[in-house]
Amino acid sequence: MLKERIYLTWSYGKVQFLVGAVYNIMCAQLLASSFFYPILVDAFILKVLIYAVTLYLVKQLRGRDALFFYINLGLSPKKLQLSVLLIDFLSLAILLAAVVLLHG
Amino acid sequence: MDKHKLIVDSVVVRFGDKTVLSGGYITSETGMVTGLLGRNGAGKSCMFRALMGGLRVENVMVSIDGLPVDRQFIGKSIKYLPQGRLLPDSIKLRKAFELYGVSYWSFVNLFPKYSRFHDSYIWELSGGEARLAELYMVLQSDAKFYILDEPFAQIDPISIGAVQQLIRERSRDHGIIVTDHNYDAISAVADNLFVIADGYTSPVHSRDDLVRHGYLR
Repeated sequence: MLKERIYLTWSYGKVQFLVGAVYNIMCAQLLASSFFYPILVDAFILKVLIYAVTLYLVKQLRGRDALFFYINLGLSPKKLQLSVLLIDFLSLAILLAAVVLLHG
Repeated sequence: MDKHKLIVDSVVVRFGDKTVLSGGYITSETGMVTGLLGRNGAGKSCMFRALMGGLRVENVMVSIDGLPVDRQFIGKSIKYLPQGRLLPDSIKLRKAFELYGVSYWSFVNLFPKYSRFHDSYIWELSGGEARLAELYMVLQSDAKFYILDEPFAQIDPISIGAVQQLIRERSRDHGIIVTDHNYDAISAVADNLFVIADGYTSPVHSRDDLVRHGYLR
């Protein structure tokens, strides 16, 4: 059940996860190479903008009826979207926190 | 066999100033196939999308056996085959069947040519092939009711017979609502008919009713 839920969340937010992962890694690398705290705030502001644009594009490109695939399985697309958002932002936070800790 | 009754009532759908549905109503019972007819833009798909929670609407009431349905989990009781592509591009056919709890090989037994699509994504299939696979997957999955929005669209004439047979078989212990523009295909399987016209649903007792509501000439 949990495995299925994880798979469905991944399939629902695949594009957003991939775009998010590339951005998160870039941010972590930037922070690691030129460490200073204001980058942390900028990283999250830009993250919100990128997330909004990606969400808009995914909604435009995804077939309008594909969401019923998930509804039929008893899953709410809103909750799936929320899960994608949480995982994406959480992974950025963890990655940046790791860089900060490594730099003492 | 448990008997169930689905009632969808008071469906109101507006897009800006345009009212698509002002009094949408449809009912379904275990053991019956209900046909829903209506001209293009009459609001058939809107009603289904509304009841499944895929469309923001002004009002919709859905009950099963007299109890209101929590539309967050409606998919557990009602499975919906929409007019467009159901399967997401990122999921393989066999995986989709697995998620819906349907055996892919029982589908292949019925339609042998699908054995080669076992490991394919839905976009690798033609429109008609994809439609048939989705239809079978939805109809064989676990639910009390099935709603099929234009199930005969894109399906070749030879397979239409098999689809009708499948609908009849599943209707023995499920309730099914079907809409399509193929009037002959629907009337061949439906036990009762409704028509949507001018925002309202009306029961159809004879062909004259369809003429009166402007669906047929």
